[in-house]
Amino acid sequence: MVVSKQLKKQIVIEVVALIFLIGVLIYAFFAIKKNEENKVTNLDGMVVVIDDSKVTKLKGLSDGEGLEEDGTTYTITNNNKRKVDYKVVIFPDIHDEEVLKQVRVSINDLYIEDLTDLERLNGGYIIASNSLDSGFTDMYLIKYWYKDNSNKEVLEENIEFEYRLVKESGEK
Amino acid sequence: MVIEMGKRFYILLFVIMSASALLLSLSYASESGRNDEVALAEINKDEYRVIFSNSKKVDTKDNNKIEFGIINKSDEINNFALVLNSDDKVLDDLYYSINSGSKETVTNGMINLGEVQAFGTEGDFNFYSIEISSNNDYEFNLDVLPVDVNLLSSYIKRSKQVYLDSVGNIRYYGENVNNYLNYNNHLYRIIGIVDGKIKLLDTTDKGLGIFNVSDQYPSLDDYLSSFTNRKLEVNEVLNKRSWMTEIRDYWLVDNNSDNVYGATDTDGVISVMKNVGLYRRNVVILDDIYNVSNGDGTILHPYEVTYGS
Repeated sequence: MVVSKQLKKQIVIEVVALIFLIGVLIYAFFAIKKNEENKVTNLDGMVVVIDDSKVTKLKGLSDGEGLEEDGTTYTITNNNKRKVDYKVVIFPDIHDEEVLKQVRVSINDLYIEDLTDLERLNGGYIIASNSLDSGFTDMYLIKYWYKDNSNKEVLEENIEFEYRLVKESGEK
Repeated sequence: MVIEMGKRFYILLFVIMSASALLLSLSYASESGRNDEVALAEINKDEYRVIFSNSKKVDTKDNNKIEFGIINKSDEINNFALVLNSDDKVLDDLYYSINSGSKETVTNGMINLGEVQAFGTEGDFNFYSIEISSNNDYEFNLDVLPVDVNLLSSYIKRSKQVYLDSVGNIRYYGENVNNYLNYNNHLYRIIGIVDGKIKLLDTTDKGLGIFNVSDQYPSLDDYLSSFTNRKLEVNEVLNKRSWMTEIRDYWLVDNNSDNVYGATDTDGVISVMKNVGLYRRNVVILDDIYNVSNGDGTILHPYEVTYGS
C-alpha cells in the first residue's frame, strides 16, 4: 500500500516533468526554426548571432543608396556575470587593396567610413568597440557597398566578410 | 522494490530536467540574439529618411548632444531644418553648434542644416553632430523637415535678426534690421511671421491729423532696436506706444507722460487727451507662397518677391 502510494506520486511528478519537457521542446522548435538562417556562436559566454540572409552582392552605390539596401545584423549578448569589453572585427575574403579602397561600410545606418580607413586588428578591420554589461545585448546593422565611381573590374569582385568577436578584459 | 523504483524515478527526472534546461538555454540564447531589425530611432518618409544615434530627444543638461544622418530620397536637392519642439514658449539664451563649428544662436526654434544632394548622387547622405547649450533648462522633441529655401518665410527663418515670441511667432528685432521688401512697387519692412502669415509694415507714416508733428514719429528702426535680449524694453521707446492690428499699426506719440489715451482698431481714435499725436502705417499680410527672386533685405537691395512657385 505504501509502495503504490509512492509510485503514484512519482508517476505524477514524471508526467508533469514530461509535459514540461514537451513544452520546452515546442518552444525550442519554434525559437530555433525562427533563426535557422542565423549563424549562432557562443564565445566564452558571449552569444553572437549573425543574420546576413538578405545581403546580396556589393554594388556601386551612392551613400544614400547604400544605406537603403539590406544589411547584416550582428547581435552580441553577454551571458557572463561581469562586464566585458569587446571588438567586432571583419575580415574580407579579398586582399586586393585597390578593391578594398572602394568599399564603404556603414554601422547602424549612421556612421559611414571607407573600409580601409577603419582601424586594423590582426589583419581585419574593427567596426565596433564597446563594453557590454552582464545580461545585456548590443546590436549592429552593417552594410557594405562599392563607391559609386568604382570601375568595372572592382564592381565585378564579390567580397564576403567574416566576423570575429575579440573579447577583451572586463570588470570583475 | 521501493529503492529500485526510487532510483529509476530520480534518474528519469534528472534526464528530463537536464534535457529541458539544455533546450531552454539554447532557445534563450537563440531568441535573445534574434534580431529582425536593429531598433533605430528614425523618421522615414517617401522623400527622406532621418536616422538618430539614440532617441529623438535632447536637453540642455545631461543629454545635450545629438547625432543623426539624413538620406535625401528625392530626385532633387533638398534643404532641411532641425525643429526643436518644446513646451517652453520662449527660448532665450539658447545656442547650437554643428559638427563642432562656431556657436550660433537658436533664433526661431529651428536649426538650418543646409542642402542634401539628390538621391543617387554624391552627398545624398549627410551626417550631423549637434550640441545644444543654454543656462536655462530646456527639453526638446526633435523633428527634421525639408525646407523650401526660396520662400520668403525661409529667408525670414534663416535670418539671425529674428526671435521667437511667447506665442510662437517669428519676429525681427535689433538694430539695422535687414527686413526691407519691395511689394507692389512700394517699400515695406517685414515684421515677421505672425499666425502663419507674413506681416509687412508700410514704411510711410500717415498722421491722423491730431498733433501731426512729423519729427516725433517713432521710426521702425527705433521700434526694432528697442528690443533687448528679445524683449521689448518699453522705456527705450520713450513716450511712444504702438499696437498692431490685422490691418493697421497705430502709433501714439505722447508728449506728456501723465496723458491718458485710447483707440480702436476700426476707427482709430476713441479718445485722445492733451498733447498726443496718433499715426498709423498700413499692414500687409502675405500668404506663405512668395518666393524671393532678388535682393538681400538691406535698404539698398530690398527683397523682391514673386507670387507662387
